[in-house]
Amino acid sequence: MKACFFILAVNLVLSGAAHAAPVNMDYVHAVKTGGDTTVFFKGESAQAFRNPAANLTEEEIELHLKGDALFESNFSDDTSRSEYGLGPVYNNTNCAACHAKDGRGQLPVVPFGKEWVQLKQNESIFLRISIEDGLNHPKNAATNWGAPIPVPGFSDQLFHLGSMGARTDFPGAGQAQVWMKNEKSAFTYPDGEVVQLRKPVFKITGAYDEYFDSVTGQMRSRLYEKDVKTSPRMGTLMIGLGLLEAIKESDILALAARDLSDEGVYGKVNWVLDIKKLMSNDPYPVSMGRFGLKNNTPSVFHQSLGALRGDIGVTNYAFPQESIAGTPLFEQFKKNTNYPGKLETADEVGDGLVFYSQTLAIPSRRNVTEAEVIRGAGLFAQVNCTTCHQPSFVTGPHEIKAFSNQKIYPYTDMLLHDMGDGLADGRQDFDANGRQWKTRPLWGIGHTQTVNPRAGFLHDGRARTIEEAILWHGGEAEHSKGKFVNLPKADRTALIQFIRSL
Amino acid sequence: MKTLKMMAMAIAFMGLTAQAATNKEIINHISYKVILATYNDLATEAANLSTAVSALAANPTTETLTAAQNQWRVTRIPWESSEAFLFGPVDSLGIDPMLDTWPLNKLDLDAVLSGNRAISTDFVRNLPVTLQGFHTIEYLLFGEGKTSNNKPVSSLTAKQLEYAKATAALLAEYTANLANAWSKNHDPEDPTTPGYVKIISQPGVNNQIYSSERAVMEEFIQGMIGIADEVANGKMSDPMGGDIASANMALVESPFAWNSLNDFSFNVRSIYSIYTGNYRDAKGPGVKALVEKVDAELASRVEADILNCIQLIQAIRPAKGGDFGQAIFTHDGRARTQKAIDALNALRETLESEVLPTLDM
Repeated sequence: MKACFFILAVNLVLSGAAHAAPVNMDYVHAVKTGGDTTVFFKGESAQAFRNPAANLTEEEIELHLKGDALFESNFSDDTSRSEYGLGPVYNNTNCAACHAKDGRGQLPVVPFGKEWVQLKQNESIFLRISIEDGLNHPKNAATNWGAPIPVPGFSDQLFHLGSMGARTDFPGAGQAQVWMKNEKSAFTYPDGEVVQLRKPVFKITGAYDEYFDSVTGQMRSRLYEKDVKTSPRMGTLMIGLGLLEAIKESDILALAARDLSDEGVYGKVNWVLDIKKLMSNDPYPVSMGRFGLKNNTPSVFHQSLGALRGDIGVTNYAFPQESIAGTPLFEQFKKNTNYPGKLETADEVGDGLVFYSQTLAIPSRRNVTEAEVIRGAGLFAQVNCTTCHQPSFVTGPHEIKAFSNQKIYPYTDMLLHDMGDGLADGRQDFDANGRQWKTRPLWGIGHTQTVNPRAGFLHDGRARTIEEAILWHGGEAEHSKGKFVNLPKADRTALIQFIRSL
Repeated sequence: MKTLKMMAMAIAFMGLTAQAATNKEIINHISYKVILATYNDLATEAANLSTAVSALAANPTTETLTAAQNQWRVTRIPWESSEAFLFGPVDSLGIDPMLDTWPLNKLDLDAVLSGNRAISTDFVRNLPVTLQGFHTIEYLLFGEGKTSNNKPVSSLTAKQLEYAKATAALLAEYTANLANAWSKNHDPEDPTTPGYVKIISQPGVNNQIYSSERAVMEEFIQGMIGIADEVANGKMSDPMGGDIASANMALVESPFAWNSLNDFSFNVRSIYSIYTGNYRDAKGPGVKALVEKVDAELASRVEADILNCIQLIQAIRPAKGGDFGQAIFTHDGRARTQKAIDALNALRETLESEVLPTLDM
């Protein structure tokens, strides 16, 4: 039987994917998606993403479990409590609110008969904000090493929630109110099949600095000016992050160096501020971006502690300043309350969250012996999905030994790609332009909606199914999408069944 | 003793009838007769709670306060009895945090109550989850809970009544949405989606969420494991801390009503319902019927372990009055708590290492 699989795999390389980037076809039958970290039994349930990597030491599992409790615990703005530190403005009160059961988030429900809904508590989406002046800034300390430029009086993230003392005019609100509606459209395949698509659209009202401009007859705020760029971000999967960190930089650079111009593909690295380097006084604190939807953070450390300070407002040893420090809203808040002004969380809390985020296991692949799944795996290469959703790596050394030297199947090249107009946010993020996004790792994707039935795919959660997500692909993915949509229906189904097996 | 004997006989009888059940029959029974039935009960009792709190707000007397307090306890039962199946719409519609976030943020609640703003359901809807749901209502109805759970009606301010009424109405709305998502339409944005009970009871290749019966059975078992772990290592261990000096009343769930031990018991009761298929007057088959096919001794041992956990949790109750929040500040209360924690961890271990593998035998 093994021999048959081998022949099939070779045939796929020779026939289907003849002009594609070279790819190791062993992914077709690979079950241990996360190498030795893979968990086998606890796969197919809402708990699929909640397990520690299988090869951690007992001591490491203890650390992981401590981090687990922190990930779910609610931070509070009550200074008398040990979980103090929430706010003064924030997007959620705990990590699990955006990453329910360590999985993906979902868009707010828009009830029948309503057009706009306000983002309230417990949403798994928020807006990044910045201003763009059209200049090409050098990467130096003055430009915060090329980081997006915060909106004056705000930050680089819009916090729609706030502590009681933050907005005395509207208890519970943060810097502004954020509203969302869905725009609907339809995609028609060449064979006539129609798929309904939706896209969330956002508007902002009630900014804290809002005033009525009698000249224009409109409400104004620095946030409403034309140079302000916004970009929605949905909570993503928490699994396998330590493994992604362990992929050798040289392997990612080699993928970026490929000449794939005949496919119209040009993968690119995002070079971003590295807070760990900055903390150790590195004269050039810039590293390869690996995390965030635009690869705008270099490590799980930076990503997790940045989110702890950003999304929840809890200052920590990596990010000791409140996100809104220096803004009029913060000055007012300090006047209204007894803000203690010291670091809000212990170093071990931050470290616990980082360790937990690094060590969640990838579930093993399912249904790998089903004929349709095997056929779909071949089609996945045939339509060149594998160019960007590069199946496998062998990891390099990592401070957590469990992640070193593992053959893994994340299905990403870790690079930025232009994804076309449909997905463009028009907002620069370090070297990522307004059309570029990181190739999402596909491992675990088949479990995503078992974990959260309304989980949405893509950066803003717009796609309700894997098929919708494929149909939103454009730009550098146009070539592959074109091949996909021209497949017979049965082949499209088989390809999606393969993706669901991951 | 007689009761126990009768219970054992009933269990033995159910074991026999359940033995022949297929996975399909187990899934169908649990989905409709345990899970859906629990959520329907929750919606009904939450609506009753909203009515009782409105009656209290309209006419604050000792009788209306007692009625509202009693109804709060009654509404807790189906909610806590649902915690072995915290998957599906309760997550995807974000309902769990709206109903049951704890600890309550008393500081912020006091700030809202001391303001001049009119309190409505829409006003509360936009407030943090730590100012909504069961525990906010509990605090308003029962008081501080440290030395007593008996708030005099005279101490209820007009603002507190207004807030309790709005929050109870919101709780009723959320639980109605949850019941609807299970029974009729699991994604409220898409009227073509069926109730989640159909999704879970009809697994298969074309089911986007559960590709096989095995997957659903695993979901049920993982749910039992999850809540056994949560009660032992979260709800009980966290507030207990390492010693009396580090015990933390602020981390106790349902401390104001002194309902913690009942909460924990009904959490374990939900394990029992999934395991046996018994919920109120509905009888199995449950997961036990699967285990029985492989190992009859294991099947009945697990059931006995579940019931033992409930007894050990109830045994934590201090003889001199009080609840879990008081027990963890005494040496003997802590010893009894540790016994319950150990039994729950042993049950979790059995579910993980012995029951889960029966799926593939």
